[in-house]
Amino acid sequence: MLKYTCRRILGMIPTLIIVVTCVFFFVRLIPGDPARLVAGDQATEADVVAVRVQLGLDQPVPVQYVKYVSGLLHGDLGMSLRTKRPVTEEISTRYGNTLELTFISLIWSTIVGVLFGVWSGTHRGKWQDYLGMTSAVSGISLPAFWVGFLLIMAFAVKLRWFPTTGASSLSSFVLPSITLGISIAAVIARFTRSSIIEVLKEDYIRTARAKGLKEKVVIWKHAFRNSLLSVVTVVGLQFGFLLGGAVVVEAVFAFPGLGSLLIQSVNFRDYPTIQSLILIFSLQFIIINLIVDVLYAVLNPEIKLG
Amino acid sequence: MSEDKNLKTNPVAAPAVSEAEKSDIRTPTSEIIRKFKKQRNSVIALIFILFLLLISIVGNSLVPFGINDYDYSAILQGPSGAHLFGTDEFGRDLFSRIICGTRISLAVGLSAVTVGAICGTILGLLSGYYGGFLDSVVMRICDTLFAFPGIILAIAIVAILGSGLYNVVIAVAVFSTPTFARIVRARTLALKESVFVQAAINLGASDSRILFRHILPGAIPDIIVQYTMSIGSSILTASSLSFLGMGAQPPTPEWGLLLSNGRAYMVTTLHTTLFPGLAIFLTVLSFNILGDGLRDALDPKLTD
Amino acid sequence: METTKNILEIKNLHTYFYMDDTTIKSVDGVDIELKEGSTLGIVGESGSGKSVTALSIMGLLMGTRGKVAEGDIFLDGKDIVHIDEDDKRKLRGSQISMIFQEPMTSLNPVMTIGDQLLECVLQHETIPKQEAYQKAQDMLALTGVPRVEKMMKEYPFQLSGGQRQRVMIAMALVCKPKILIADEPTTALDVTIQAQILDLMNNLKKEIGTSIIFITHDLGVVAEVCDYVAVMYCGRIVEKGDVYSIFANTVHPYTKGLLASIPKLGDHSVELTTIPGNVPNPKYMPKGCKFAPRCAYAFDKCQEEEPDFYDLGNGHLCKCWLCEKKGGAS
Repeated sequence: MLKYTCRRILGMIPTLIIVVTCVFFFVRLIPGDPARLVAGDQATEADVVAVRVQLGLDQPVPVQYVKYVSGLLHGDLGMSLRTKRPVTEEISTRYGNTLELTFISLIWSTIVGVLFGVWSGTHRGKWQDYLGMTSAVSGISLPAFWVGFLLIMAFAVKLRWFPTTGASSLSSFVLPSITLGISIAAVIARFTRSSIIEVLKEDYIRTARAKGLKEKVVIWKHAFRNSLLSVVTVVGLQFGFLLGGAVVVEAVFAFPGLGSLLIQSVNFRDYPTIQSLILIFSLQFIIINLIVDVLYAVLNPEIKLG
Repeated sequence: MSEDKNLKTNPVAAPAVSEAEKSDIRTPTSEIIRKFKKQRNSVIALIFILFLLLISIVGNSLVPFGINDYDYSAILQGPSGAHLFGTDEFGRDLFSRIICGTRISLAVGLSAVTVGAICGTILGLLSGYYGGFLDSVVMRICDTLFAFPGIILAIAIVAILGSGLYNVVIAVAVFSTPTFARIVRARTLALKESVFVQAAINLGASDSRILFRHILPGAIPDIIVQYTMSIGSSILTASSLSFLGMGAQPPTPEWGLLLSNGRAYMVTTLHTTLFPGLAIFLTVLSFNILGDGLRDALDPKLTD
Repeated sequence: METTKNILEIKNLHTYFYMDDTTIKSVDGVDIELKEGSTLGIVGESGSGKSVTALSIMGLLMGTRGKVAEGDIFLDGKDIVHIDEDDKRKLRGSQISMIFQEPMTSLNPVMTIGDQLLECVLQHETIPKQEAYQKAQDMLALTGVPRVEKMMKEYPFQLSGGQRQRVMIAMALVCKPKILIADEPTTALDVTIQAQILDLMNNLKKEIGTSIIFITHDLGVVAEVCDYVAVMYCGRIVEKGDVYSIFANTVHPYTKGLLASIPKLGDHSVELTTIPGNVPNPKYMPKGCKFAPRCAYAFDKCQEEEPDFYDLGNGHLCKCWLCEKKGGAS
């Protein structure tokens, strides 16, 4: 078990290195001269050059790369070109918000998605299946920004149950996490359904019924327990997409998180922040995949003991 | 026991097949079509999509108002006889703008996914068939691309190339490619081991012949299903990017952009955000339902 | 002649599968009796309806499009068809058990052997967990597996095919059911293991007092373990009786064909005997006797009407117009 985990972590490293390198070079491709932007409209050529030196942008690219990587290893993400404050500071204030939003959304959408998926899968072909799957396919077709608006208009403006923007209180997380969670729940529902349907065809389900077990036990203790492996994989994948989806939702709800920071940074050509954000998103994704792999081993006795 | 000799010396000829049985021929294609037709949702979705295609071809010339016909006397009016979906902040007819937006969304979706599908299929075929170094490189690249949530990748690409619909198409094509590559590679690996491919190799068939005549047709059902599903998500991504200001630029009547425009007035007017969103939703929904229907019809294991 | 009671009686069973464009009559008029303490063999080719008959007895048609359309099944005199789903469920595993053909896939891969056995006991008996565990372990020991305590904690993937089938047998018998249905339990196993499993089943049958229905296509196995035989074709019983009568005085042409097609040592013929033709397509069943198209003895009446059972004495019954021709009692 331990060996398996270590091997997985080691496998992460090459991908990480590639991601860091790609992000670095990618960002350099963004048109526009950040030195000019930082120096401002009134700056003279000399000023711009001075700023460039100050930002270290006059160094050859490989040197910049080495500086960047060594900075990373020391936890230094550079200075934001837009706000002139350390990137770590910008990110840390917003990181908590996005993380909280992501977690809340993931938890409720997993529960709802799994329940819908099992409900549909165990009533295959009947009205429950039809209803569940129509809801799910609608869920993945809904544009997040549209849903966000409709929810704001209904619940925040007309009914005044929730605030429209910000991340001030717990209630301000409700509408954004509903919006964010809908398509996630839908994907999980669809996947769970097809997994349960496949598992229910297996011979050991027939054995379980032949033993006289109650249907509920057959579905949850036998069928779902075997679907768990694939469900966990999907949930992990969706977590990664949650981070992306958060970008749009944060824009709709003016939510102070990493997503809205990304948009601002892209519009400003704030290299260090963009780099760091993309890096963080990817790192999170990679770590989630690692956790999923480990969970997979825990749940699958063949890997655990084999 | 003596009667057993009867069986050996008087064998009965195999019984004739009845006429009814003979005419009950089921070819694979007719099976697929039969299974598809059974799903009413998918058929309705297909009809709706054909309708959308029709609109995108002729709609622009048939709309009652021009997409840029300002009418300051009729600002932000709700739906009425003259303006089916109401008007926007410049008095432009929302119905006409949405209809014209159909062509844009479909064009973006179809072109982006087509490019992604072609590139992904080629990469998948080659890396699955030849394996080795090529395979590891391609898979590493795909893994890296998969490490980024789709829309973040799209934003990154658009940030480099600049805003605008062409770049949105490129961005979506880029992040669709690894999905197709993975699917086609998986199918190629499976088919490579199959008996008929082994036979073809033994008969001396060239690589390209094997790839295009034997393996590619086997991957086509997977490709078709993924293609349909990807169109839905690419329309969503494109409109999200336009919504964020990184995609279509004003005054293009792209649906995401229309929604973004309507945002400022959403408190007082429902129609400015309702109809563009509805258009996106129904379009994406029909592609997804179609995709589901195709997958169920094409799945050989899905019997009654 | 002592008359042992019938622990199971199937009367006029019809089980149909309702598909979209057609109805498949898998079991179309089956009458079977299982005498207490005996082993009944049900023989037939694939598609003859023998497995569906077993599933109908167990009530395991959920999840399929199959339903018992007509007929009755009596377990020790009690109706088990026209009762609540929940009552049917309570019978499974405790009064009637079933083991299946594929031991490799019939056990839940993520649960230990012990848990799967335990589950069965706790479902049907309200006893403390410790006691149930012991009971399960004892039953497993009875099946002759080595290192029982260790195996209870293992997972199915750690066991061989023969061991898994023993676990299945233990699970089926742990609650001491009245009837055990075995659907081709040895077909997927090596011949040597097959002999062991058959022996095991015979011994346990005597120890626990279970009656067995043994479904197979292998007449050799039937001769070995069965007291009574019923031969099925196209969802109907064509011949039944005690095993000696069937083998020594075979009457039905189909049964004769089955016996003739077993290769025999010392037989120097160049070609193997087969039954010509194929099992009819369920959608296009022939009129009259279903075996007539393949029968070497068929005559006009066979194509027109389906025969009834003819009693040939001693409990040997046969569905064939030939019996009428010979003047047997109907």
